Amino acid sequence: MDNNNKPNNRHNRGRGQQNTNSNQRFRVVRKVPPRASNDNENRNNIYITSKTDIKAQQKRCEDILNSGAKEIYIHCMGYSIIRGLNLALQIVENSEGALSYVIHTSTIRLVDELHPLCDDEDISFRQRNNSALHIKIYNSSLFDIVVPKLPAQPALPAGTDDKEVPPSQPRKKTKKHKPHQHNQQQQQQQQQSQK
Amino acid sequence: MSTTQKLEFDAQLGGHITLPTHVSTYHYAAGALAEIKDLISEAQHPTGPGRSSKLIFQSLPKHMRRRAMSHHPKRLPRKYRKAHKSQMGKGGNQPVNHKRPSRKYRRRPGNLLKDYIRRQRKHIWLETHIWHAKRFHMVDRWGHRLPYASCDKTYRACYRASAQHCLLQDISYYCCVEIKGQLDMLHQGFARLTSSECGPRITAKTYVSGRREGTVELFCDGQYPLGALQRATFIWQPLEDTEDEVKQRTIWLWLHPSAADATIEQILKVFKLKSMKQTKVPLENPDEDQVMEDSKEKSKTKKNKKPLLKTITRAFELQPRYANSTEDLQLTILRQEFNRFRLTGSGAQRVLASSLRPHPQPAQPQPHADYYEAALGLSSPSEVLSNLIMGIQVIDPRLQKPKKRTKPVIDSDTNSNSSSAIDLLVSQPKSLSESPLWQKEFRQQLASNLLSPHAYDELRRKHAVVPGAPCLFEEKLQSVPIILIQRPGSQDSQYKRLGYGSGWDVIAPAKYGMNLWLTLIMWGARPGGLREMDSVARESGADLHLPDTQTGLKEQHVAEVERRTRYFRLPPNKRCNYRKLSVASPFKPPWQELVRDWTDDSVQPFYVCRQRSQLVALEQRLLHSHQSWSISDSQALPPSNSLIQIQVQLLRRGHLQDNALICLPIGQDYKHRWRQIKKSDLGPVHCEPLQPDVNERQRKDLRLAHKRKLKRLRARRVREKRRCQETAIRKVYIRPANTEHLVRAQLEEMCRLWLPTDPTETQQSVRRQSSRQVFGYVSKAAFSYTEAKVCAVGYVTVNGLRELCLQSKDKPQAKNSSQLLCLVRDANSRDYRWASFKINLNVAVAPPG
Repeated sequence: MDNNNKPNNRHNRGRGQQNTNSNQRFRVVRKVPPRASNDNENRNNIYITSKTDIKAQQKRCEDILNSGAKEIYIHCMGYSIIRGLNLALQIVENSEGALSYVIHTSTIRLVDELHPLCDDEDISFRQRNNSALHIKIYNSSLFDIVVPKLPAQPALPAGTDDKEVPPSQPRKKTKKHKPHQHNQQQQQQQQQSQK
Repeated sequence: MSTTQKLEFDAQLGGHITLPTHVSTYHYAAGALAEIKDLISEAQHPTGPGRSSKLIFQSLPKHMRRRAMSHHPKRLPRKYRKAHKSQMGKGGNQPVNHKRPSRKYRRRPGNLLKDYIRRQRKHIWLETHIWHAKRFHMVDRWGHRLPYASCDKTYRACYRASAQHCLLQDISYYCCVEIKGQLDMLHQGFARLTSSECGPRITAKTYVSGRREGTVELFCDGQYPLGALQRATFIWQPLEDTEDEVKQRTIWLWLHPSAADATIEQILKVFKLKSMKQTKVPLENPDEDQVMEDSKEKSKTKKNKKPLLKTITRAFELQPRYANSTEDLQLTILRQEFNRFRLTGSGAQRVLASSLRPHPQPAQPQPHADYYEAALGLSSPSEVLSNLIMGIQVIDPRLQKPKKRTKPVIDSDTNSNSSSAIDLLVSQPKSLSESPLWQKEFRQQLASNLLSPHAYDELRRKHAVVPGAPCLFEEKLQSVPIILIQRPGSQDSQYKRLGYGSGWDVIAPAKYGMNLWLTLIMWGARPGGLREMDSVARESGADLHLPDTQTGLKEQHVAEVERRTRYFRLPPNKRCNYRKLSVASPFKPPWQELVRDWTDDSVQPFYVCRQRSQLVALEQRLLHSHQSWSISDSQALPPSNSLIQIQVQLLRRGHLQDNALICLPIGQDYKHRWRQIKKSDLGPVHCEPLQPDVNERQRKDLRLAHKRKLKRLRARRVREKRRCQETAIRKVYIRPANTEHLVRAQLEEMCRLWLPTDPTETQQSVRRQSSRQVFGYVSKAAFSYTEAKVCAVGYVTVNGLRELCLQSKDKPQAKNSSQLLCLVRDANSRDYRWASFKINLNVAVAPPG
């Protein structure tokens, strides 16, 4: 019940980066990662962070799906990929076969600002890449037949065909997860699914 | 017949007076004359000496009397009114003499304007004042009348706006100071007022180009690290050509009004500037009275030739000017010259994009307009370069105002180019930050060419055939230069979600405030006040004003007075007894005494540590607690009289308020913590034992004695009155009590007995005030919506942290948690609760607000 471990991990990761990157002349400042291009239009993009409560995010996804959305996209990046996978599998499993998922992977270009700590330097930038996962969860139920409204509307854009999902990430991104940790998580995941 | 039967007076009754049989006419006339004279004088001076004590209206004949005449002098005949007023005034009860003018009279435009001007004499109004006064609670702060919070319940709505939509605040009360001079002169001067230990200074390379806005901590001349004045933001005027390095540079400093005067005074002292209120002009100058500015310019050139000078003193300057002896360094306080609006939240992008459209004029380079539109097409303001400055000429905001309050939508094809975010961040068009707003003549011209709202409405009425349709004359409205400044918001993803509190600051020329404000509001921005300044700062984990700055000290004093008066307004059984709770300083954090108790030297003044390298070293030491805290590397650590800013989060239940205590846990608390975790017990980890209040008896005695004394005094006065009454003919009234001084002294004494002893008096009174050692205080605390936890900003002493580190090394229970933990307790509670905390490394560069 005590969530001590989470902040600890965060803290350590942050400290490690500070040590390696800032040699007292710069302060590394991260920017908000870009979002999906259709982010303003609908609420179907979920960005997973390592801070948000997974239960709350699950409820949010289910609410969106229950409110009539045909599909949702779960975007996760870096450390929170595991959380995103967990979340997606949980949702699919809870739906009892009504939902399916498709996974896309991508690499996100990120730029950090290096803010100078002394007078003589100007602001500079540092580019890095981070891996991201975009999980589409869609309604695969046979009984859910879409009746076209009159007058007939054009086909849903970028809906069912597997076009590339616009790159988008959660707000949190940190160093890559360790493989053994991943395995553990997956084992846990399997155990949960067996239950 | 009856007359004959009637008995004659006296003589017939056997008396000795006999009536004369005849009366001599002259005797009779003399008597009648005296009687007539008396009557006349009585009618003329009813209240003269020796006259009857009648009031004027009582002396009127019956048919001229009216109801409620004494109350209303207008019911008297006009010639009696003056006498009546003076008569009533002597009695102490003033008749109704001046009624408030009727609403109709007051609302006439001229009278209304006069009233507004009268009310602005005391406190300066913002341009949006009247709009705010209708909707907000207004407070007097820093010489201004400012909106505090909306009359609606919008606390949470304002948080949502700042997180996802757009929160709009008018911060035009910030004082803009323009300094012109050569770069090296400015560098030398500000080197005395700032320190390189607090990050880049004013003349740092990253700011001097004018591309970004900078933040700097100002200190009194040469007193760093003590004597902090305030945190100021500044922007440099961008250079047109790079080879003009030796040219005069211009900088705008934006100062907080609470310490603006002190800061300007320090700047004047450092640069040796003198007021230009008195200017010496040549005597032979013919047009000196007509154009002040010209005369000053000429005085500079002609001073050498003509020895005859004349001094001109101006009674009032709206924008005071100062210059040094050679006039190559000038300072102008740009009062009421700009409007500065603050937009917070990711929706600020869309609101700005819809309300400020770039003007299609040839003077404006196309790349600027393109960059502007692309930058506002991004999903969050924090995606562009931090503190970026954009100068842009926009169409008059009135033309962009929607008819109804509308949600701005961005068509998806504008931001379809998703890779452009990085390009926008890395490269900006050259001279993006240039703006004609820097030129004074241009600003004056802008203000004079402004189409007033009335003229605009008249024109629209004349020309607009279809209501709401655009008119031809609107295309000819002058373009408005605007400076947009990005605010990066949260940059520390470890603590706060990235980009919270990001937004834009809009600097608009004077007189355009209301137009722009209404347009922004109609595009869905939510207005906020001073309360939202505080709450946004608290949500982003920063303090608006550090406690050692002048601003912070003033705010702290105001808060203390407010809490104290509130405490003593409560009835005694509703007040919490701080002596029983063993709280030494219930109304303000005693920083000085806290530092005194934690250092060996008792006279060192405190300050807030802003040096990043020291804070980083301290954090390393705390997190790697296995390292020994040796004396050898104590140079790298902050000195013991400094305070460290920390960000506190409560782990479980409980609530925190401002001025809560931060305490050191003992070994028993660590044990108790694990027991609580096992049992999932959410209660407090420790309860402060109640202390006896030695003053309780004293207070009771004092109160009884005081009551008794007042009673005795009254009895004495009553006796005195009775004694006088026995001998007097008239009614004697009791003598006034005149016991104010007694009552006041009693109140003061009572307040003293209610409160704990002042911590300045005794050593160790703050550190060891309760069963757990106090090593810090909370300055701002509340429930944080971003974290869904109770969060606080506090300050702790270095030696306290050291003690915490040492003792957690000894305790096996404490070793298990690698998180920094402390105990917190509210000033009006006995419960100690666990809280985790984190050192804020970026104290100096934290964005204000």
